[in-house]
Order: sequence, then C-alpha cells, then structure tokens
Amino acid sequence: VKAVHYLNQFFAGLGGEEAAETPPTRLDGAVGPGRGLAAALDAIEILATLACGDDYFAEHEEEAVDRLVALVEVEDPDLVVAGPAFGSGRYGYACARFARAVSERLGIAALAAMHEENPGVAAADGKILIVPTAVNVAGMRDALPRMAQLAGAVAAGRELGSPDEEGYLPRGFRRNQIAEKTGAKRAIDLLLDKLAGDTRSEVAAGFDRVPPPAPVADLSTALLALVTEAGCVPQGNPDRLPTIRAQGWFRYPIGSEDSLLTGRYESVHGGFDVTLANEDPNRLVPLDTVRSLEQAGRIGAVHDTFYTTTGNGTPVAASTRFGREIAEELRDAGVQAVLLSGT
Amino acid sequence: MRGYEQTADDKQRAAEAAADEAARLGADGVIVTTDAGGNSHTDVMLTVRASERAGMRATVIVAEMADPDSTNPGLTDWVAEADSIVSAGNAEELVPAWVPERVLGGETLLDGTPARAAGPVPVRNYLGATNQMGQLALTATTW
Repeated sequence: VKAVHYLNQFFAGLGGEEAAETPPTRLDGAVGPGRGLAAALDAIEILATLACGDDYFAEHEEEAVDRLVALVEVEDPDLVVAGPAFGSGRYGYACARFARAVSERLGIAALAAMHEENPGVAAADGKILIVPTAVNVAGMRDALPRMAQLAGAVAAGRELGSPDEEGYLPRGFRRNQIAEKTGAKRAIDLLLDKLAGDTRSEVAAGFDRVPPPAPVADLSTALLALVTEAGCVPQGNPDRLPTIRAQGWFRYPIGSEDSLLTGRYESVHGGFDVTLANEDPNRLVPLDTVRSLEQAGRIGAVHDTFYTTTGNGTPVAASTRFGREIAEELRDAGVQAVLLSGT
Repeated sequence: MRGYEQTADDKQRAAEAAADEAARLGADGVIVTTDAGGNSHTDVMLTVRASERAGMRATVIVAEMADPDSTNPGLTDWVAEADSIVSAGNAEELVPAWVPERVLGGETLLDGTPARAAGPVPVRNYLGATNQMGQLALTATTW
C-alpha cells in the first residue's frame, strides 16, 4: 500500500515562521514525524511527503489545495495522511482542507490527526477521518501509532467500527445501536436526572437556522417564481410525486395561465386534509394573486414554471438538496424573487 | 403530540393546553412523545417549551431523521429547552439488503420487479422499529 504524507513547513524541516511562506513542495519518502509514522505503519510505504508553509496555505488557499492535489495525483497513492497538527489552528485547517480535497476530488482515502478543538475538525465536516491528539507536540509519541493503526484499517478497506473502537473523532453521522435499556426507561432516567439538576441528552443541541434573505430591492421589475412543498401537481399526478418522503421535486409549466384551475391541479401531500386545497389549487400555489399583482405592475413578471415537492417526512439533508437544486435552476433562469408556499 | 394541528396558532394552543393539563396534575416533570416525524417535531418542541415555561422539566423521546451520510440535524425543529432528548434511533439509516427465504403474497411486484430482489431500505420501513413511545432499546449515537 502506497501513502503520501502532508506536513507544514516546520515539521517538514524547512524552517519555522521564516519559512511559513513556502509554497507546496514535494520531498522524497518520509520526513520528520513521517519517519516515526513509517516505523509504526504495517505494510504501508510513504512514497513522498508534501509540505506547505502555514502562511502560504492561509493566503493562497485555493491555489495551494489545487497544487497539492495535483502533486498527490502524480504519486497515485492508495492513502493520504496529514499531520498530526495538534492544536495548531492554521496547520490543522490546512491538513483538513488538503485531506478533504484529496478524498473528494481523487476518491483517495484520507485521514488527518489533530486536537479535537482544532478548527480543522469543523473544516473537515465529517468528510475525512481525524485521529484525536493532544493539544501540543508532546503528544507526538502517542499520536503516531494511533494514526498508523487507523491508516492500516483504512488501507485494508474494511468497514470501520465506531469512533471509540477505531480511534477517530466522531464525524457527525447518526448510527443506530441497541442500548442497554428501553427508550422509556432511559427517558425516566434522563428526566429524574434533569429534575436533580444534571441535564443530559442523547441528541446534541443545535439546529440549522436559516437567516432570512435581504428584501427584494424592487419587486416591480423582478421576475418572481412560485415554489411549493404543498404537493401541488397536475391532476392525476402524472410523475407520481410521493405523498410523503419525496425523493425529489418536479417543475410544471404555467405558461400564461391566469390561475390554477380547479380539476386541473391537485395536492398529493399526505400531511394535511387537501379537500379545500383541491377546491382551489391557487391556495397551494397562489398564481391568481401574483398574476393580479403582475397586471397591477407591482411584480415585474411571473416565471413560466412552478416547482413542487411534498415537504413532509423529508430529512433535512434531502430538503437542503431540493432547495439547492431548485435555487440553481431559478438563478440560471434570472429569477430574482421566490414565493415559497409551505403547508 | 402529533402534527395534526394545521396552523401555528393551533400548534401553540395544543402545546400550552398539554402543559396546562400536566401542571394541573401537579407534575414536576413531563415526558413528551409523538408517533410521527417532521411536522410533529414542531408540536413536540412547542410542548417542551410550554412545559418548561410552566415550571416543569421536560424530556423528549423522538426518532431522528438524519441522512446516514451527512452531518445534518435529524430533527426538523428544535428549541433551546429541549436539552434532554432520548433518541429512539435514526429512522433514515439504511438496513443492508437481504434476501428472504420465502416470499408471501406473490413472486412479482406490480412493476415486474421480483419480490425477492430487495435492496437496502431505511429503518423507517420496518414498522415500529423506531418506537417513539420508548418500548424498544434502539438508540442512535454519533459516528
């Protein structure tokens, strides 16, 4: 198994702060901590070491990543290892960005090592494996064998166990397992503990709040599109939009129609009583109202296509993808405003 | 709590009514459960908030809906008071494909697919696997 190792200028022996402007550089074989790593690796050879100055990387991030990825491509390794960066923010960030780019662009397995509070962990966003280390270089002796162990597991191509079992930082994926007690018993335990002042949770706090966009500067000249998650489809649901847990979205032409006629559109949404909506589909997609605003000159024009999905039982990740895909199409069509009708 | 309330006002009213009822019983703590997902997460969260504001402590049992390959929130709503949550498992995790020894009800699906040719399916397709009343021991942890 062939590997490439990434280090910053300091650990690659190129110099300290005075060498922090060093551009991406290739060195033969294992260098610096790479020698200790090579000694700990089993049947994995470090072909080359790539190094980049911390300042250079920070100031020319995109270019540095491109050049480093190109250098990896020449070596054609099976595995890329970065760091350990310990608590060094710039170095850890570079390790994570580099390893993530190698993984995403070349499809080569990549892992890094750093302290769990290093900003590189957030930059990795779960896309690479990160071995946790001490906050400073005193943890080198401990870090290298653990990096080697995880590298071995990755190189073997076997399915990895849990973060605890394999020695990497949790990446943020929620995986099922069987607990010792039922959910009901765990809930009682959690509630009694909370009443006693010890609050714990099996689901981490936090939620993706979307800030509202800036107001449209001038609606009277804007092209406005209608988007809905109300499950509004042409009568008969020709494309079989699911009533719940949609896997995608559809677009339908509205041309120059003045309203969505009763009997020509319906809602297939499985999360609410659609009787009233089907009596007047404009209450799902308010074409009648925006047309009158268009005729009154308060809206520039109505986009000739509306976008629809069912928004119930849809994981946040899927919804985010729908939104991104629809927004890209609308942006390419020159749409400046969107009226999103939810249910 | 289930997301049957259609408007924000009704959701708020139902949450406060549930909290009032618990307070009237003299409860110090409440466990909020639901039998659905998505929309229901809002009802759950509003009920947690209403209960906490009424002076009770609240714990939740809920199944997560987190894409197994993304670092995304598994709940579609959340409030800061929901700091004590039991996970009844991640309903979106894929169960690897397996081939049944015997298929009941016919060998072929309506679209022509062999009934035996199952692929990976999400846990939610196993009815009741992520039981939100807390009857099972399934949970989810962060990998």
